[in-house]
Amino acid sequence: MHIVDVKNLVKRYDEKLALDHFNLQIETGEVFGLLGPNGSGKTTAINCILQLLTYDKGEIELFGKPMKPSSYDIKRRIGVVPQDIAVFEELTVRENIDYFCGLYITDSAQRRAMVDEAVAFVGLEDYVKYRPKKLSGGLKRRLNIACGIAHKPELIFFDEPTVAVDPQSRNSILEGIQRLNAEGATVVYTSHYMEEVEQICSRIMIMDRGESLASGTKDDLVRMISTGEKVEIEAPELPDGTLDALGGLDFVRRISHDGTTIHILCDNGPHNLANILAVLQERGVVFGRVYSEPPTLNDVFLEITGKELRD
Amino acid sequence: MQVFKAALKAFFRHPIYLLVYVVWLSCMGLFMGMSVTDAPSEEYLERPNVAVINRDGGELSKGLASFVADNSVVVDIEDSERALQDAVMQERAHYVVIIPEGFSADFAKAAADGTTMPEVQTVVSTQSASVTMMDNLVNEYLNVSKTYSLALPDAGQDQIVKRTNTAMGHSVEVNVVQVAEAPPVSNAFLLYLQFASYTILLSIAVCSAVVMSRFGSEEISRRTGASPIPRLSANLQIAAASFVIMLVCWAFVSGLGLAVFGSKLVGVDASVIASGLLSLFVYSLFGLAFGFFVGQLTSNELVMNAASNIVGLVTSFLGGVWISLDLVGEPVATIAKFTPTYYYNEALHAAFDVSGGGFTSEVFVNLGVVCLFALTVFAIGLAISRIRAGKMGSWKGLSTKASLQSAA
Amino acid sequence: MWNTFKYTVLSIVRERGVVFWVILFPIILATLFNVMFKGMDEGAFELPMIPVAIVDASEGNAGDSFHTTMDALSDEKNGEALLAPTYVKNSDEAYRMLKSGETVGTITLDADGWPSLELSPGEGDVGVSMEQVKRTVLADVVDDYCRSRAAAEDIITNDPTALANPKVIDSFTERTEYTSALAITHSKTKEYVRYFYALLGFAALMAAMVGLTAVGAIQPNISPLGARRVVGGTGRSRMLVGAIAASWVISFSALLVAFAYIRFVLGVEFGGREGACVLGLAVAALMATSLGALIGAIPAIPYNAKSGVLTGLTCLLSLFAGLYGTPALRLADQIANDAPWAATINPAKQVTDLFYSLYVYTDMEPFFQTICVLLVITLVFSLAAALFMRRQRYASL
Repeated sequence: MHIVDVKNLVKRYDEKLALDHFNLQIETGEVFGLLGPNGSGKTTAINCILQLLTYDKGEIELFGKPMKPSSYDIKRRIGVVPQDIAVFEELTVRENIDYFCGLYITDSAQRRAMVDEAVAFVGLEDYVKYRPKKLSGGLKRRLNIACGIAHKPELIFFDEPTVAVDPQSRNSILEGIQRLNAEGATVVYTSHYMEEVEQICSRIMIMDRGESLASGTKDDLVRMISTGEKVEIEAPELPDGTLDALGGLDFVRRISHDGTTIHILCDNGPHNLANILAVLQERGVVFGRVYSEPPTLNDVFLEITGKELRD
Repeated sequence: MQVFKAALKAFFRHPIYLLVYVVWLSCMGLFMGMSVTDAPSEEYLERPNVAVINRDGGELSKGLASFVADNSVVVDIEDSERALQDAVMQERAHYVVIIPEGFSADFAKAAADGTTMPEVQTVVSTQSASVTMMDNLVNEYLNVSKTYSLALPDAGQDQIVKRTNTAMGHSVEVNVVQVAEAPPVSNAFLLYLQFASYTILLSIAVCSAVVMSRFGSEEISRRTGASPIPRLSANLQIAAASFVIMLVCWAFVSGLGLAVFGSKLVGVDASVIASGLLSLFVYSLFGLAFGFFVGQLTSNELVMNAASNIVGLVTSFLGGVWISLDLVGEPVATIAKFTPTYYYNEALHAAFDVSGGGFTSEVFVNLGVVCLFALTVFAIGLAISRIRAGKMGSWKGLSTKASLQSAA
Repeated sequence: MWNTFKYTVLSIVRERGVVFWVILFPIILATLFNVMFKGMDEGAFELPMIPVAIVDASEGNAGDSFHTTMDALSDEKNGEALLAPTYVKNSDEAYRMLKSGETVGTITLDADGWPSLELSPGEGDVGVSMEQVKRTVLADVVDDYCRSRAAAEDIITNDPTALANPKVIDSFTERTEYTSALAITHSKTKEYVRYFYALLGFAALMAAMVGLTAVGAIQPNISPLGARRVVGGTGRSRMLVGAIAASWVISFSALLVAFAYIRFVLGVEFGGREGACVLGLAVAALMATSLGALIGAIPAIPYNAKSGVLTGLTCLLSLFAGLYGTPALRLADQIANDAPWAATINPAKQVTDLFYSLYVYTDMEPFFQTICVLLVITLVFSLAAALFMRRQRYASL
């Protein structure tokens, strides 16, 4: 049983197709990353799953049950950290967390402990009496998260929680998400920052224009594409013909030499580096350090969509 | 109860709204109420402020001047154009009689010769029925003087004036009939409650709109939508919070009125006052419905404010708070019947009726109409919110359409 | 400066709420006034028909003269019937009619035909009610009868010889008009124009919304936008001048629109002195801008609540300028009489008086006095606003 199971979801905004037969299966206990540029349909997908948006076609099951607007028993097990900060300016940090927690937990004694825990979790202990207006951008994000997780949900949707956040706060947010996962929560995480997704997600889906383009672990994704590793070799003096010989290898896509270093982009395949080094040794080339960098998610995205992930 | 509590908390963190709209505006009602003085019920006459400018020294002129003085509220005005204009500007004198030089002599001569009688000049600052009646009194005096001048051709003017004064001294014996056992409700309190139709509509509409706009904001309502609180329940809790705010407004306005005008209500039956306050309560329900309606139309606070203000002004006028509805034309009086304020005022008048007010059926019938207005406005607001939700096809549209399709 | 001016104008004109308040609101209210007071103007001093019950206990012919008078007053052929008399058998019947509200009074004729009058007590209403007018008129009409009869009987008893002169007999019933109305004011006074003038006073205060918005947008401690703009390269004072000039232009234009609508579409008179009115509006707009700047600059009021504070202030001050109907007008006059200083410091009242003085006074001096008062108010507002705004750095934003 998948904890999230979306089949053939279609959502139109007037003429624009926002989700085009979108499928998503998430296993219990994973941190699942939805990666895609702005406007690719990540938030739309989540809002449809949460039944905040109507949709034209498709089936959505959460915890093995069909999700409907009135599925309150399901909603009770879900936590949501929306992209826009949704808090009351009039209420203090603590009151805000208590309010949102109270939407799920009615017992106030039980809630008090949960709110304390959430405050500690995001590290807002010194700010409980502050109103959101007085908080910095990063602290506001943390408050937003605390409001979403205080009731200890089994499934948590984080929609771009790190947008416009300083590196320090970002790290603490990412660590927090990993901690939540370690405590047993399944996490759905959307972002357009591939580093974050690489860092915390066990499985990743790449989206663009409302379509799921690929999904799997990072290694799965990297293996899926034809682009292979980038190889850099320090070699100040190159005998004539060496570059041509290397370029003649069938897995080499691009090769250049800037006077001190050879840059080689390879196709995906085994033993690329060994074959390159064999050619160099054969020609008696003296070389220094050798770097090999495996393909990144950006490379995956670039190859699938023909454009860079960032903007 | 979470939504309800948060709504109230959020609202009461803005005391400025309570201060400006509830306290401040109620003070307007206080000033209005305090501006009217309760005439003793025996006082049945409405007399204008009158100034007499006597440029003549004759007996007749003196007689006329003192007769006018006896039958009006006299104010002193200097005999200059500027002073007269000042008096008009400030409404100090509604009616000015200017007796020209030589008037007494001319009057006697014209009466004797049968030629055209001389005239006094009048200045009317505000035309009204009481001014017209004052004009009639002046004419009456001079008519009687003329009769005596004709009847006693040989008598001196002092004699004629004396006889005229005696005749003019006759007036009908008037009794004001008490038709009720209880003393009437103070006009000041009535006017305060009438004016409250404006202030309470504005304050409730604005205050409840503040609450609704907080929860209506896209982020919050999305976030609430993702929670296990049913939408209906969340909306009902917001409505309940608005209702509490309405109660606060109503209680404040009622309490303030009783505190300030209480001394004038001594002896009035408690049920009479209670039915007046009940009327205000029912009207407050209309204010609440209107606040909901405006909250559906816009979340711009300036626009909400202006819309409530305009509707408040219009309905309070049409309800007869500004000027007595008998004084406006027939068409306006007809239009007035399409406003809740009209029925609110009818209910107030019925509640405070001197011949037995309190909880009469007339009060309840009128309040019933006010309730219908409240329901209608509420229903229109509800319809608008549905239509808008449908159009946007977004988070608000948790319609059956979506669930049917998702099930299909 | 020009840049600030241009973008202030653009941003305010595109702000729906401000446009609504400053332009639409006065026009809607003026239209409403027009509908309301048209009816009032036509029907205000037409005396109404007065329902009255008559109990006749006179003997013989003693009541004849009274009946003749009643017939004359209730003769509809005569054009204006004043009374609608109902003859009833006894005082119980009359009392019943009085209590049920069918009549406002009962006239009882005694054996000699002298009337006495019973009136219903006053019922509460706003300002002068029609009931009160009816009671007054009824009492006056009966008084008139008594006085004429007293004079006639006096002459018949004491000077019977005078009756030889037919002119004397005629004069018993003859009514001559001895009064002629004199116009001493610049225009013929109509009370309802005062509501429109009070409306302009209200509109002028409401126009402060423009200054408030413009100043809020350049104050670093009021809005983030203000903070952003202050760190720009343009000097603070140049920016302030630009914003204030823009506010004035918008306020003035809005008031001109309202004025033009009231004057030319609704046809309300301003004493034929439209030129002076425009000057008055220009000064009123200046006052409005300074008031807006002051409220916009007071840091103690939260930004969101500023418009609310201004609205509340406008409503309250307009009450004392006579906006809200007859009771408010009386209240305003009363204050102007009893506490002239309170009227002087009320900008809404001053703007209202601006137009009323043009309407009433033949000379222009009072108008210019009011202009001066408004300029002083503007100066005070501006100085106070400057005190709040002179700070360049803040302990907190």
